[in-house]
Amino acid sequence: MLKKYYIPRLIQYFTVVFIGLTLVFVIPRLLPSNPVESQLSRMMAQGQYLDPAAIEQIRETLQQLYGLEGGMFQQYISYFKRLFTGDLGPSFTQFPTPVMTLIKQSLPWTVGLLLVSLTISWLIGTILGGIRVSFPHSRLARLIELVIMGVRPIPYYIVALVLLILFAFLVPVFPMAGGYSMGVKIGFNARFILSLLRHAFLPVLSMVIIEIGGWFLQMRNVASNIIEEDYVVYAEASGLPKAKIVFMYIMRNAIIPQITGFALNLGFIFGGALITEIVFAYPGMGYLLYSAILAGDYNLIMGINVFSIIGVSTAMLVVDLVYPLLDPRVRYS
Amino acid sequence: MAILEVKNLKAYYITHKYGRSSTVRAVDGVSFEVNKNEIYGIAGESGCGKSTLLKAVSGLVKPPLQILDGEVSYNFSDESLNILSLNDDRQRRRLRGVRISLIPQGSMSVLNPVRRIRKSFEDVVYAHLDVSESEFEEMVRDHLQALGLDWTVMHTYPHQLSGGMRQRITIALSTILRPDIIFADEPTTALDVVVQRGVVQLIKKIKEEQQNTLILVTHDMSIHANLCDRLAVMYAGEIVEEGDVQTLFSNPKHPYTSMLLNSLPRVGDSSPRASAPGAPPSLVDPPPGCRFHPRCPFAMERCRKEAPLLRDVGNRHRVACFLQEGGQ
Amino acid sequence: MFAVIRDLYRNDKRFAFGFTVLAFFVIIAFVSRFAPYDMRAWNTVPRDLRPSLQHPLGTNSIGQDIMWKAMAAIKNSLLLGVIAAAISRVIAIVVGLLSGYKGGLFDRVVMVLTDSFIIIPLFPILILIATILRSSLNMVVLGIVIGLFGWAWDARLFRSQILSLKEREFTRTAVFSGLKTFKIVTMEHLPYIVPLVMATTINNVIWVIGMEVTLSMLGLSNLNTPTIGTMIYWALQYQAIFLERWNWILTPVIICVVLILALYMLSTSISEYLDPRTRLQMIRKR
Repeated sequence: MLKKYYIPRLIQYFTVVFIGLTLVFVIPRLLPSNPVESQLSRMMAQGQYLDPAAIEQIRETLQQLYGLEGGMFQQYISYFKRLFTGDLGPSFTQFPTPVMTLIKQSLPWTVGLLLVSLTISWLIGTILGGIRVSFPHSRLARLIELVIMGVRPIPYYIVALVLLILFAFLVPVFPMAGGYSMGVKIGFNARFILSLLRHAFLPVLSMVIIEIGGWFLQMRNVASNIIEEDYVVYAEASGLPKAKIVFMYIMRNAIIPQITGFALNLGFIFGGALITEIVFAYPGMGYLLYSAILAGDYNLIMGINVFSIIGVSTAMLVVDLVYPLLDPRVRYS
Repeated sequence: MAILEVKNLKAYYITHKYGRSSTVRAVDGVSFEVNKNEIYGIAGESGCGKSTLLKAVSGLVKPPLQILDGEVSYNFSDESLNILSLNDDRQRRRLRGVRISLIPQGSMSVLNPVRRIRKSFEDVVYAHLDVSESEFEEMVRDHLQALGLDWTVMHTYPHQLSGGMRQRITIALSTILRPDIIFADEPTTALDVVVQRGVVQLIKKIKEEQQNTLILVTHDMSIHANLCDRLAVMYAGEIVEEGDVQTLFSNPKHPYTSMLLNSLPRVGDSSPRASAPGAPPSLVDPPPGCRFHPRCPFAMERCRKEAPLLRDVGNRHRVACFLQEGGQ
Repeated sequence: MFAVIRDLYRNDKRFAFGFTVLAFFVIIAFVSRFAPYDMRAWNTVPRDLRPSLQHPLGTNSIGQDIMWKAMAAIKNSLLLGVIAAAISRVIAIVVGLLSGYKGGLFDRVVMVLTDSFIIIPLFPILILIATILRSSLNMVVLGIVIGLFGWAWDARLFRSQILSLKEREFTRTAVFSGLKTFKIVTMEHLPYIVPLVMATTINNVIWVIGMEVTLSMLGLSNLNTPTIGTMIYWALQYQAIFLERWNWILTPVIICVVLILALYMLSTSISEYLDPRTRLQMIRKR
């Protein structure tokens, strides 16, 4: 079990992280324009007058800042050295705050936002998908399916914008922006928590609306294969109660890929909920990334990339490690 | 009185897709009776409708399968009912496992792969009986012991067992509630020959001990010869011949039955075995007249136009063939 | 092929809808060549006009005709989708087929690479690339970049299809009857792969269009090129919602929703048609 199952997966994990981090290293260096030149040209375009000597000095400083000094191989080594010590370099726009500090500030917001919306949408989508398959003749189930499938193709930002316009602009029930109200002290007190919930409501709602569809669809597809399995037919032929068949035979087997999907999505937390956080000005990783893009903060973008690669692959590894607990076929073979 | 009476049963698969609709006449006007305590065999090539017949008779009808006509009546010692007229799921569920039970084909996935065997037994027993845990254990232990199975299998998962063992467990599970009628659908087909023998003996043993009625569907004539009291031969959705196993094997009246029997090996006979020439017809568009006539060596003009009826030729032996009517 | 499209068109409303809408958009894309204005230039027409005969959808705050701009946007977004999908299809097919047929060490190495591409979050990487390339990012470059990252999942899908085809009875029959590998692949296996490629292509185009809109909304593409994404970007930049210039903001939004809906319906209709269970029912009919 250990040798045949866990060790190959650990090897796979390190390979994928290594390839991913290498990719993040290589891409900027393969592109025809490099971040230093692009930064310089942006400064020029803003109409700053710089004499050639100053340009040269800025160029050198930027190269040092971005770890672009010396030969390719040397850069590669120092890139990994820095990663191992948790050093992602200083942020360019908020110099000299380290990128790590900025990420640490933003991460809790995103984790909270995504964890809550992921859990809610997962639960609703999974249960509704299972019900849809278990009761194929129910009118209500079909109506639910129709609504979910109709909402699903709508691009996410449109849902978010519509919610914002409706409930923050036309009927101002919820705040337009931010993670909590100005002047509320961050801490474990009722005012802060209430403010937190009020601010998170629309972002969470918008994500739940869009994400239910995917969970519903996956559950429906997996479960509709499972109801044709012999063990479900046999369970019916043995006269088991409908509820038992639905929960212990159909749902129990269909839930395995759902749980895998849930864990995988946890990995995407590190990339942030980009559009959500931009639309609602929510102070998470996505918003951090957005401001990094606007300012051309190369180190910060690199840092978020590194975080999301490690995050997603680790989530994948956790799924692989937990999988045998869910499926005895893997556990005992 | 017969425990099961089937009258003029028609079960079709009807599908509509992309503007075309199609009807597969899998069971087309079948009538037969099964007596209490007997083993009734249903034989035929794959695709002749025998598995569909079993589904229809045991009330496991789901679209695209539809019952168009006919009656399926059960006469248990204390109640009689027509299973096709039961509209309530709960009424049907009450019968299943207790009164009528199914031994499915021995495939990989008859038992829920993520549940231990014990759980599967609990599911079936607790669904129908209100017993305590110790009563449950005693009941299962006795049953397994009677079948020569070890209690330790209860703690395993299905995939940890061999195909033969899984099928024995399935049979034990299907008979734990001592059903009045057992339907066995190709119970040995997926198993290798050595294991088949054991499974056949197990079924025999249960039947003798529990004194129930068994309806056995398989294409394997040797298993019918071994187990059955009476046998029906199906061809293209119809029963073409029915009678005592001895009579049928020694004196087959229908050309198709003869063909099936000729393909069997016999001890002491080393002449090459003939397989039935041709293939069963499509059930979407069966041939007119007698459905067997395109493959029949004795086909007459009449066979191409008229369909022969199933007639008693004496001694509860029924045949659907014009040859038996003296060419009337 | 033609018969299949005809059958689906006649009998599946989703297919009919998707096909019609897509055909309509393709025609619009061609017509957009005859635009009377330069769609990249600003202030070619008076600003902020309500819809009229001369400007059926009105004009926007940067002096462009919304109808002609939308038509050019449809053309560019479709073009981008096709370029990116074509590139990622080529990679996915080559990787999937080679890996599936060759097997062994080659397969294992390639699959670890493919898995890395599946696992690595593409969006932040695309942003990284777009940030650096920003100024030189035209439709073709953007298409190539997106295409280079959108192949991994489908390569795995094609590979698993090949693996299952290799195990099928008819492949063995073909091998034993001495058919050349090339012939087996082209004559026996391609008919199974082609429909799968079609279905995944549509899904890929949906993904690409969504990706373009997202990148554009972040200002990470060439904002002078009219696309669905850049139209939304400029409308939002000029506060079209709060100034209630609905003709400006809603045009690209509705086009986007309709286009994605149409593609989505096409893809579900085709994949249902490809589903072995549906196929089985159709074979029985013949």
